[in-house]
Amino acid sequence: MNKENLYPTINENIALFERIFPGDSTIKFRKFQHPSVKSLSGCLIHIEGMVSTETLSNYILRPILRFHPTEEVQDISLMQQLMDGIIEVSELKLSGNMEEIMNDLLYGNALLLLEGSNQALIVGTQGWQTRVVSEPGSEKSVIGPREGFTESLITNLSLIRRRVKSSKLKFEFLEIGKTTHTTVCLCYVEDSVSQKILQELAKRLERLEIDALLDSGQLQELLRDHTLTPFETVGNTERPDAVAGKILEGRVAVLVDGSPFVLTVPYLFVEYFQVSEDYYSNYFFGSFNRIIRYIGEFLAISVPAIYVSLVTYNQEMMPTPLLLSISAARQSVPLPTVAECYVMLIVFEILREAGTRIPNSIGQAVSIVGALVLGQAAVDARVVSAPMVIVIGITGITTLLNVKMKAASIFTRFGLLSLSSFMGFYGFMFGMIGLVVHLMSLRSFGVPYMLTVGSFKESDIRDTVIRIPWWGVKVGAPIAQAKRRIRKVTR
Amino acid sequence: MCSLTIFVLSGCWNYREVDKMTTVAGIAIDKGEKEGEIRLTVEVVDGLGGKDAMSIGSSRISLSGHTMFEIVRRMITESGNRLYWAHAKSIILSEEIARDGAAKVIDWYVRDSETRSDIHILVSGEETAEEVLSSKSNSDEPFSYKIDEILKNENSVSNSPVMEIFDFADTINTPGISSILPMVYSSENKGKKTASIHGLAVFDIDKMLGTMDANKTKFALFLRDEIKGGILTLGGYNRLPGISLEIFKNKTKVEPVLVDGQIEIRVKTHTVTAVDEAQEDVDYYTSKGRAEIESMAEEMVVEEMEKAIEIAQKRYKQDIFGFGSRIHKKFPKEWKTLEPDWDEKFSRLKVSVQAKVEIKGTASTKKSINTEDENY
Repeated sequence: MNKENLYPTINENIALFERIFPGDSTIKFRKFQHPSVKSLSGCLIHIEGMVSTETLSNYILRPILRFHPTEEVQDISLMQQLMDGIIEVSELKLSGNMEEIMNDLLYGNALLLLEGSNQALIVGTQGWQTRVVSEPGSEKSVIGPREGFTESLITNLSLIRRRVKSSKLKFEFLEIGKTTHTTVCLCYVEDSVSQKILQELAKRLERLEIDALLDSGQLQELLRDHTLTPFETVGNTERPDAVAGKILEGRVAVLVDGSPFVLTVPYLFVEYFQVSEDYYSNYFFGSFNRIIRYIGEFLAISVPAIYVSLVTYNQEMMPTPLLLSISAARQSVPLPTVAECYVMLIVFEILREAGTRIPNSIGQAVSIVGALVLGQAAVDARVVSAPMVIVIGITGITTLLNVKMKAASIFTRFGLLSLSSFMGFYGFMFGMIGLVVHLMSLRSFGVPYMLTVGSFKESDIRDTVIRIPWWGVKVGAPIAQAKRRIRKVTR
Repeated sequence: MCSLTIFVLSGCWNYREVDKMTTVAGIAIDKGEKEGEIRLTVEVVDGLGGKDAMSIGSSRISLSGHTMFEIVRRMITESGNRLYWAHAKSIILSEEIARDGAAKVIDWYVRDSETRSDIHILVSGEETAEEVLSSKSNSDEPFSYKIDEILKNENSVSNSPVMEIFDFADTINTPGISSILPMVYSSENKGKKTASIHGLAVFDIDKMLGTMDANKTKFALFLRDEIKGGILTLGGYNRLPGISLEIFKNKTKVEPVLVDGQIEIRVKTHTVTAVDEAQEDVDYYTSKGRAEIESMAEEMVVEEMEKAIEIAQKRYKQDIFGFGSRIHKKFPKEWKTLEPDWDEKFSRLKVSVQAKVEIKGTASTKKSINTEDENY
């Protein structure tokens, strides 16, 4: 398609673009002819909706048409004169490369073609509708900044740059997607970043063969080290403050145009449990919340398995009153405990998925059906036992405690549950050991996923299980000290 | 390979639903009607699953047979489910069975893998063990669980020993200490049948010889160093000094000594108490008065302990205090000569007893309610 080059005449060029975009009415051609200078005629090409029409008419067309040549300067071309002193737009580029021209046109820039020139002046007129910066939906916080990334790469970069005002902050741009030509930006702090990780990331990005890159989620999957695990080894966040913190600790952020989720690598297991708010609230409270999250995650994956083990295999491990009350509650419940547990878990997942997908206006129906019909009524009708509803309730709530770990939690839970349903507590313990082994074997960009987990050194736990107070952090030493640690293992 | 071992090596693979099993709360063992039979009564928990009231009742199943395990298996035909033993709390032996040898009947319980050996074991003070278990208490709670509760709080009364089945099996096998078991009676309190646990049964190896009453038991426990609480009563209602001492702490030292080639036992107790009741206006608030009360209490403790020793030595010839094992530890050589005929030797053992009672405080009032003051 881009075999052809620009022609020296306007009409031929217009015909060229009409051939490239047949029947596309959003491609707008604005021919103009200067009232006094006969040689100044041309055409302005842009795509409707991608450009700011105000820029187009006020700062390009008007100056050109009102241009009064005070003295005839023949030795400079008209194009050069326009560039030098007439067009009042800061971003200007002269190009004869058809591919470049097309990319810019499609990315919301306008093309100015002049009669007699086979080059196009690319004018920066990008101006499309974007979502305003608003509170991130997936990571709300009570205190701390309320800004979240948007779908616009430029806005996102500005959000990061506003937080790290340093010349050390570097951006590297590249384009991914054979069809979509999506801009991807690597962002890092020059003297914190581990060069090895940066090179590895660049290598992996280069190797990518993909037609369409629509969201950073795709990259998240394509960049990971291990393909067969529900645990993420590439992180994502919607919060600029979180990204700023992470790149200051030596991580690399990957921004994808069109996605409000920014990826960070390397991503360690403990980062699932670190929330921006921990760093802004009282450190006792922050540490407490973090421990709650760890406990919650343990409960989320193991409560159904433990319950099934207790009720069907290891009854002697229960206190007697509990045994008796569970036994009483289970009278005349039709399904065996294991089947009951599977059914209820799947029902809960259905409710969760329905709740996520459902339009807000009818969202209440889900909670009514969930709470009343499936909870209360099912227990009253003795279709499920009351303890099972409690178990599912705890599981559901604790899963939502670490939303980012949702996928991993669900799969781990079903794995542990099936082991427990065959072998009781023995199976549960076996599953837990297997889980730890699996986590220990994971790596994120060469960094062990469970880095320093299991260490009791003060320097290793200062930002994992707890958060140490800020007055305990030395100037120049980022709190997580991830830089030092990550560097050590990638050396 | 790994996944194979999970299945092969897993010990507890029994899948059973909690509502499909019959939970045993307690066991009573009697002699059967026919000669050579035993009669087993189990109290099982009835989980009456209702929506609101999850009331828990109990029912009983009785069967006779030749061996324990045979009866236990045959009980399935009565209950419909296999019995589940891990939550049983007490075994009651009838006196007849105990006098005949307890080891025979508890062997299955200690040996089997579905049972737990931390179950309490008691001897029935009534004619049969079944009778005690059948005394339907007013509350819905299974009777055996009530016994468990009583024994759990026993250490603030110190009226009976607390024995779990493995303790009992252990002391049967250990020379130098004779077994004792608590006695359980079915008593009636205001028309409500309930269990009452007091006193102890003395065993020669595994054969019961006789009993001791609650008060003697307390001082036997002093000698065994098993006192964790309880009350020392001095005098009583209208009898001076009318004081109750609450035992906070007690330490009993049993020391075998060699005197002229003969082994003697010296017992020293140290008891920390507080005045928790003073019915009469006795001087317990000056140090002199306290010392008096202390020496009264000491005298009483010594006297009672000597009585307990006398019963053990003269009536039963059983070393229920474990003096033999103390000698074994301290004088292993001499013990070798004593061991073969220990029961006889024990009955002639010289035991001297010393007691020290210390009054730490007077609870939350300083003086007794002074009736005379009001006249002024």
